[in-house]
Amino acid sequence: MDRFSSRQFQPGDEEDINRLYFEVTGKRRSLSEYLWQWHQSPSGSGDIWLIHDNECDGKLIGHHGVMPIRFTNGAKDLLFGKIENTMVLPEYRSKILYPRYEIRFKEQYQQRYHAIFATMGHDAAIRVRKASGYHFPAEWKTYLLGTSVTSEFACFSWLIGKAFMRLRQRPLLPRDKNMKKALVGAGFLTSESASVCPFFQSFWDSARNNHGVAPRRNREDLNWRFWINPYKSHFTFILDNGKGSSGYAIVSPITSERAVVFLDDYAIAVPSYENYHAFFNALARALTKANIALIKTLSTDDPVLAVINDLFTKRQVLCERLARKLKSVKSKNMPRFISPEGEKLGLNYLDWEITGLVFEGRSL
Amino acid sequence: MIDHAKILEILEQSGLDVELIAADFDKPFSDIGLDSLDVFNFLSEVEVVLGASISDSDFESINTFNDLIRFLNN
Repeated sequence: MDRFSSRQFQPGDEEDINRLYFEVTGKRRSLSEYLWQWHQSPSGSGDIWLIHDNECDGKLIGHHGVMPIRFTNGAKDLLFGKIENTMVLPEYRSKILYPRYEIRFKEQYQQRYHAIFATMGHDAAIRVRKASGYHFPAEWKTYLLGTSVTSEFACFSWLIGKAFMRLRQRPLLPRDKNMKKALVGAGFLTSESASVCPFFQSFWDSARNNHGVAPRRNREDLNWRFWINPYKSHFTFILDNGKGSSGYAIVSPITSERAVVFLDDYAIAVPSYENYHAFFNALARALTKANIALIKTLSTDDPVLAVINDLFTKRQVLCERLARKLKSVKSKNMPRFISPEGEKLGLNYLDWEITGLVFEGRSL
Repeated sequence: MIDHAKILEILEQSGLDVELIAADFDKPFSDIGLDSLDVFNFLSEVEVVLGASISDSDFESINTFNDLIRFLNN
């Protein structure tokens, strides 16, 4: 028998995988958190490949996983795969040729998906993806947005507070424990309420026809990704005005920060500059009502998101703009691969509508 | 018989820095700045050029270029 062997996931592997996860990342993950992420998505269970050392009682030494995520392209249904939890125990990284395993695994699972992507990844992982045919057409863009005219002051205070850790926060910035109460008071829905809100019954069924390649936003998709997410709480804003600017946004408090939320996902009925402008103005007003001054979010520079990026750039707080000018931030690109099945449907590497929905969903 | 010259030829084809490596045939791959992808690309080239087959288990005993030469000549 060869020293190293690989196989797909079998029930019973869960604890071993979590043990490997802890050894590689230093993060603890419960069984329920693992099951939520890899086996309870409405898009299906992940493709999970394991590498074992047979000379060490079959010890699990490597893991490669792909999470299925439903996408849509107008009326068409698509299945994309997201690479997640690529792990090899440090002491085995010189003992096995991991790239060979990943390329072999990909040849087997790629038929299931129209496209496969990763979010970011360290330099070594990026090189392996390049070698296995991934393209890097789109760059990530991160933003720190202001919700109102006081946001510049709030940002400055926040930066000072970060620089001098023991400085007490000003009353303008609510403490974390009040942020949730403030968001609900400003009209945001808790996960419990959002999961049964009638707005989501048919929102994406209709809106998808006005969007290109984008993650599917049926109620079950949002419910899994956000409202039963075991890692963090999400709050949902809905603008339901019967117009093209109708839509939703999902935010989450950033546990280490005050008065700053992360904008995890958003979608409107009819994308256009005017409609996004109206929608984000309404969102900003609601957040201001909750005393939230700053929004962190991200986007990519796909051409289809040009309108979004333009709006976000205009709302970016001055401090952030200056900080970016002063320090050179190395941009990261999003690895993408279109499978033969995706090519048959005419998918291309650009114009994917990406939001934070495609991230793992852990706390920042 | 596979010798250093043949290995250098294949290294050049795989795009690795030949001059850097030529002096270090006894040093572990990681010590001369080659990561697993560099080694993977190189071994893939070796397999194609020499018609050799290097299994995942074989790789465990190949930590230097001289290890590789000994393996191929056996």
